[in-house]
This record gives sequence, C-alpha cells and structure tokens, in this order.
Amino acid sequence: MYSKFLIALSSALLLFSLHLRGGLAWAHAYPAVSIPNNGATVKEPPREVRIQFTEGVEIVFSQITVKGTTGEVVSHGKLRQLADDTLAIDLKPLSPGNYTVEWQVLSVDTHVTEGLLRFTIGAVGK
Amino acid sequence: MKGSSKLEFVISLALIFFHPQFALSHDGWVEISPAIVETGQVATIALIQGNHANEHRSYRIAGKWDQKHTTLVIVDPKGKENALTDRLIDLGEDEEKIGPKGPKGFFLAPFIPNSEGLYQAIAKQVRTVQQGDGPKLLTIRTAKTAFASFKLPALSGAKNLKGFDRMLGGDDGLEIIPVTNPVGIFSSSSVTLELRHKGKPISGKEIALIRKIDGFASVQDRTTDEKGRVAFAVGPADFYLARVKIDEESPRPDGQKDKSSYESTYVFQVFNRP
Repeated sequence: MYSKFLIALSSALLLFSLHLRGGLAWAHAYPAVSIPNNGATVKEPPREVRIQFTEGVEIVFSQITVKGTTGEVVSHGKLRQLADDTLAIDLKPLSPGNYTVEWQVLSVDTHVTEGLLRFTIGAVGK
Repeated sequence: MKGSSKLEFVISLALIFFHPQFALSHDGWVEISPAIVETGQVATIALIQGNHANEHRSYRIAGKWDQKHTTLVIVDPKGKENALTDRLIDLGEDEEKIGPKGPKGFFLAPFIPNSEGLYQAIAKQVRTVQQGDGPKLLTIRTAKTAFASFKLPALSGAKNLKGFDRMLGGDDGLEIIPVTNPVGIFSSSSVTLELRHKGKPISGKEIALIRKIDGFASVQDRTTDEKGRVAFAVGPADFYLARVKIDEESPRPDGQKDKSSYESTYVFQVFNRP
C-alpha cells in the first residue's frame, strides 16, 4: 500500500522537479521569434536584431552577424544575452534595402546550429 | 508510517532532488540495409539523427546531420576506405523552409560491395567553434555500423567474420567498438561493446542500448568496466543502437573554459536463429 503511494508520490515530485528545472534542453536551438521578424519589411530602421531561440544558448559560443546586400557587416558591438534563450546585437544606422542575419549558437545540449534570417527596410514614403 | 516506509520515503526524495543531471541531446547514427547483401548488389547507408539521448530515448527523428562537417566512409574487408561523403543525398526538410524547430530528415548514400566479407561504415561530424579569442568548442560525433557481403547471402556465412573490432574513427574522438561480431548476433543472446576515448579504453562511462521498435521501454544503461567494456542482453530480432556521450571542460587562463563534446553510436541488427 505504502509502496504504491510512494511510487505515485515520487513520480509526481519528479515531474514537479523537472518542471522547476525549466532550463532543461530537449532539443537543438533554433529561432523561435526574431525582431525584425524573418522575411519582414519594416519602415523604420531597427537599432538591433533580437532573436529568441527555442532552447537556452551559450553566448560565448554564439554569434549573430548582420550583413547588407553587398555583404558589408552592419552589426557592431558585443553580442548581448537578454535571457537564457535570447540574444541581441546592435546595428549601425541602416539605409533602405535587404539585410541578412547570420546566426550561429550553441545550445546547452552542446550542439551547434546555424542559419539565416532576412529582413528588408522599405524606402520612406513607400 | 512504518520505519521501513519512512526510509523508502527519504530515499525517494533523495533520488528525486539529487539525481544526476540528465545528459540531454540528440544522437546521430548510421543504418545499413540490408545487413547481409549479395556481392555486387546495392546496400543503402542512411545517416539519421534522433532522440536517443533526450526524454524520448527512441528512434524518433529530430534534426539532421550537419552535412558541411560530416564525412562518411565504408571500410571494405581489406581495410580500404571508400569515401561516400560526396554521394550523400539529402532527403530531409529544406533548411530554409522549416518551422522554428529546425530541419528534420536524413541522408542516404548507395554502396555496392565488390568482394565478400565484412564492411564497416563510419560517419564522423567534427566541428570547432570559437568567437574571436574566446573559449574554444570542439564537438566530435562518431557513428558506426557494419554489414556483410556474400555471393550467396546467408546468416551462416557471417559467423566467421573478422575485423569488426578495428578502430576506425581515429584517436581524437569517442568510439564504440564491438567485441562481439555485429553481423552474427541472435535474439536472446548478449553483445559486448568496448568504448575507446582518444584511442584508449575508458571506464566508468554509461552506454545506453535502445531497441528500435520498443524505444524508451527497451532502454538498458550499463557502465563500462576497467577494460572499457559493457555487456548487454538483447531481446527479439530488431535493430539496436548503443550510444554514449562525454563532455569535458578545460580551464583557460582568463577564467573561461574550453569545451569538448564527444558522442558515439553503434547500430547492429539482431537476427532470429536460423
């Protein structure tokens, strides 16, 4: 009787303890949300690119580089970690045009992922 | 509550709150079909990535191998290496058209054995990451399997195969080496594996064995002995996968830490007795 109760109680507490350890990573890190959004056309030049990933990431092994149409780097400064799963990089003043965000991160499961995001700054008045 | 029950309760609580941190990640593995092929006919090699090491502990596909950093080699019975990296075909999702969880899928490569004997496949993914002069990250993944080729393909021919205990992955990574002939394992028997890290047997590391059909319900965890070996009992005929992961950290003068992550898998097929 007690054994069944203890097994049930243990299972419940285990699930609860896993819930408390919300930082557990089950998968690789990929962008869940980005600002500017991937593929978006914005009117105002953003001052930074911010990416929230699907898992926590390690900033020392991560990088975000933003490039213009001709490949010139328009991001500058140090990569900033706003939360376990969120990174941001500052941008130089940007002109209307197409921009590519190259990201590479290390998730806490020690797997490296990388990819591209894109955004466009529309010409004023359009 | 009786005394023994109180003790059980305390132990349960201790296990819950002080259990070791789960080693969570994905594994990459290699499968070959068929495991015994007629000489001159095609065998298909698949590079797959999945959930062995996370909460599923199953063959569920998750993610993809990183093709840019991956090599695939078939070692023939004479020890000659046949590079298949350039022949890999991506049958996974489009890298740029998938949702936030990243692309899933696998790679395939065909191979035609031209002589009889044991063939071994090894896929290796090596990545180094360093931002500026910051800490370095090294990840090495090694995935292996084996198949046999005969003019008259039959299980009886596989029992005398040699060379399966050869190291194939170099001396920089982590490698599971079968001590038991991997093309001659029958249901309700056992298999012994040896783990080598940087070329040497390593003890005290946990290897998990997962059966393809049962997944989570079939998982066995064993710790390598002083010879780096573990023995597993195998059940019904099916594919089985052994996996292990080791993470290391090296302190740097600036107070940060370089990291190294080593993963290894080995897939073998268990047959019904003829």
